[in-house]
Amino acid sequence: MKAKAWSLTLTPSASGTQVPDRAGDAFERLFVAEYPRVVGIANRVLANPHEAEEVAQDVFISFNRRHSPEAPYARPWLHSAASHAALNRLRDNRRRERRELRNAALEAEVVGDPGQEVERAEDRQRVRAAMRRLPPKSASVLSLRYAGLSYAEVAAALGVGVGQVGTLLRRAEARLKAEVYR
Amino acid sequence: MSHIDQSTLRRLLDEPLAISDTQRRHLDTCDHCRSRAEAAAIDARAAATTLAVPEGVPDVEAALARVRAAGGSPAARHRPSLLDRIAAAIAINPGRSLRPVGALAVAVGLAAVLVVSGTAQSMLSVFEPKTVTPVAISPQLASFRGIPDLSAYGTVNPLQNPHLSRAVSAADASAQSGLAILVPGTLPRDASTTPSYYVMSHFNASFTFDAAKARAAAAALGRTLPPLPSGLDGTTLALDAGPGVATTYATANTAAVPAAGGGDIGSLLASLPELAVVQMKTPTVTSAGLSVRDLEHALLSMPGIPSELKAQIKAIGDPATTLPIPIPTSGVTSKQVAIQGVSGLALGDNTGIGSAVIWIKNGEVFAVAAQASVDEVVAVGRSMH
Repeated sequence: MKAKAWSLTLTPSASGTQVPDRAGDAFERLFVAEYPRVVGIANRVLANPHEAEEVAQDVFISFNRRHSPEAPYARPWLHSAASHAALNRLRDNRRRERRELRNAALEAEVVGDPGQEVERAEDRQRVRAAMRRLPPKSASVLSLRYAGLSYAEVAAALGVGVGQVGTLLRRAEARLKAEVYR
Repeated sequence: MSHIDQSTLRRLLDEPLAISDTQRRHLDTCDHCRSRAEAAAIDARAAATTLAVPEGVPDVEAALARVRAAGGSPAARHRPSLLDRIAAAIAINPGRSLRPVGALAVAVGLAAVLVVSGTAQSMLSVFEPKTVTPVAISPQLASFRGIPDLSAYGTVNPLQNPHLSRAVSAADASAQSGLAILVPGTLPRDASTTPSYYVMSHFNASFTFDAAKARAAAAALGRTLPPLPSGLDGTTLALDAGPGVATTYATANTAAVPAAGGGDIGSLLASLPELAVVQMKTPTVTSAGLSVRDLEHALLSMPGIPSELKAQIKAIGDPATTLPIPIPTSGVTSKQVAIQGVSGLALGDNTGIGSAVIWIKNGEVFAVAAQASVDEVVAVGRSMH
């Protein structure tokens, strides 16, 4: 059973004896509910689950320092920040990426699986390169929507009306296709 | 009316209910809008493929600990760990998370159940179900794997799990599966209006009866094989199932992160959607030569099949047209309900949290499962159009 499934059943603990800290509880609830989605958003951009988790944790740390977990804007803030932080990281990382591809080739030689590692790294690089070249708003709408956010949630994260999400998404998908198959 | 705007055409792919009746009628008759909608679907599908990146399973508790250590959450000290709290929550209400999985497994895993369970024993013949009926499985047999494995009685050709792929919309799922997908008109209160679509590929498997193997299986149980109908040895049965489409609706505000690319039915279940709808072509089994009754008789006479199960399978009026649904006798209730103009089977667990309804119509099996009451699930099934 995945933690995700358990989290649906999370109810206030009966085992704690001390008076719970209200803000702390709210932060934990927010974290449990949103962390997998924040990772999912970052992973759509970075195509790397480990890096996505690092970005997600930075996003939560940054949120926790400045905002209340009970703020009505908490979730859209986290979603939007996840997308932006992942895109920023992508732009800073071009050199690292080339190194990674080389390493994958070396690793493949060592483990004797020449095709797979390189192919995986190439797939990852293709997604990252396309996301990097897209206009930021297009990259954001794709990362949010394909991480499973509803239209209303995407709209809230981007600060646009729900009616605009379809247009943004349509445009972004056409651009992505052009980037990937150019 | 004027043409449908780009935004609505795109949204229609993800949220078919977001379109007005007037727009729907326009789309049905306007070639221009239809071709724009198709172009949008092609680009969306390409995007879904490109962005189906490998995913990890985040360790939420460890991540929370790291964030607290770095960011200094004010309540980080002296509190029970997240794991403790989850364990406490589960202990308080043990059925809450487990039971719906059972109900969902019955519905969503229908295809898998048909293949791996003893259910196949009752359809070893020319089988094309038109209706569903419950078969009670006692707690001792509640695990489907408790029923004898078919491979003890013959050769099962490598069973391939149906391949599961993602679709971006109901229209895309229809295109990929070739099924005219029905969508719910009403949803349970807590379900997200943005579903995820999974397409199960067509799959088939075959089973060749082997008298020598059956004799060995009987001997292993210390029994002797009864006389077999002539022609049974070497008879091959072919199971044909799918394609099918599973549509899952996450809990509103906690929409599940979609799985990357393909996946299996188990992982689909593990994400515990608020609502799952399955539509698939009814499975069929064909056999060369032997009649339904010959096969039923031969297989039910095999040692190792519990007598209570035998009695129930024998009681099924027409085994060639009835799909038995295994129901654990403890914790799950079942009743016949009228749905979509046919008779369906509604299942509820005693906690009232997980329910499902299954029916067969026009050569397709439908199943709706939700973390809701039986009445709510039946209402969703009745609203499908």
